[in-house]
Amino acid sequence: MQRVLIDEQRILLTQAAPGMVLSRSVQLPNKTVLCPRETVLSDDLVLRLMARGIKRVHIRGTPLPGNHQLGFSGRRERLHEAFSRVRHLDHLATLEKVVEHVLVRRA
Amino acid sequence: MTQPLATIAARIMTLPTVTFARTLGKLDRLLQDGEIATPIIASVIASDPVLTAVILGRAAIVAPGEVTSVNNALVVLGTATVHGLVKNVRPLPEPCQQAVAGIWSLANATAAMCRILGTASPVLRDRHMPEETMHALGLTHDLGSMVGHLLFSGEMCRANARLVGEPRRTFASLLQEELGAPPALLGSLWAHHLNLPPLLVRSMHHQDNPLLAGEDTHGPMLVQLARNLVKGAGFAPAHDPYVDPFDAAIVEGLGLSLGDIQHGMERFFDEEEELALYEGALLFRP
Repeated sequence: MQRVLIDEQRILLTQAAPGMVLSRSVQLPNKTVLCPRETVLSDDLVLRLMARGIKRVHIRGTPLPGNHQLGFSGRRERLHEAFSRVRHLDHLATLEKVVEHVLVRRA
Repeated sequence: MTQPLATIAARIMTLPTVTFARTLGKLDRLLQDGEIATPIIASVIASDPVLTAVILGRAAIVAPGEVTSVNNALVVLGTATVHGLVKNVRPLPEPCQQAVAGIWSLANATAAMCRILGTASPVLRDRHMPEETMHALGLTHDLGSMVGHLLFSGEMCRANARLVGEPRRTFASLLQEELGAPPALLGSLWAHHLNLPPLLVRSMHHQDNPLLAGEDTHGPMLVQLARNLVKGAGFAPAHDPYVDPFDAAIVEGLGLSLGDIQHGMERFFDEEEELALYEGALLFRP
């Protein structure tokens, strides 16, 4: 997966809103540029990109809050809290370990 | 004090269909354009639990079999009918937006996980369950929580407050005591009213105990496993942040190994970056 820069977000085009600024150009698979970076998105532009089959865009900054802003330790803490009431059941304790293992591997 | 089930059902029948104004505006523009491909329109609808339920329910009236995919529903109904249905959906009231955004985020994460685990499950592969159906199962499974926030917010708040001090209880059991119905029942009552296909209604109704779903337990089992895994992965709504206890037979019944689940989690986290932004996108104000 392409690594996302710290001052940008990769979002689905269905999440795009007018006023967001492209941090990377939008290209077709054949590398034809549809929109250069720094373009300010408008409703019309989003619709036209959708019509061309574009699914994702990179936008400047982090205007949409989400789980990605939690660090690894924050996510692991939340995982432990979520499983705290079912950990006494062996199969659910195992599932918690599986999720934690994946989190650790990706950290 | 609990309410009689008949009273709860009657109130649910008066519930207007509501969702985020931003989604409605976007769909209105897409449907007005006339040149936008149907799969693009379907992808926007298929990220919204209420719109998906309304459209699948309407398609079930005119189609001979069960319609459990938004793409199929769009073909059955035609974009003009869908545009009419979208125009009848009202914007979500401001005070509910934060809570419902959290529920929509869980719904989309569960839908993604249902698709990932469902395609890995040899049992579901043998049953030829389409990916879009798995997505719809996960997306619509928690409509009951939205019904709760819109119609029974006091009871939802009391159940949530008790959850903190009663660690052996689940949110569903506490809402049952406060209101007289858990989210699963609220959702399935509304789903009946919207005429959703039986497969989706069963999965909603039996999400707390899929093994009671009779002959067809696989849909509810898939939903329960996917929902609890994504809650553990950080997509739990504020009113119900804990993983619920469920039977070990659920994982076995789907024929999934721990390796399958680990691989599924990897795939889920690959998609998660975008899912994590879903809630923020709904509440985004430029």
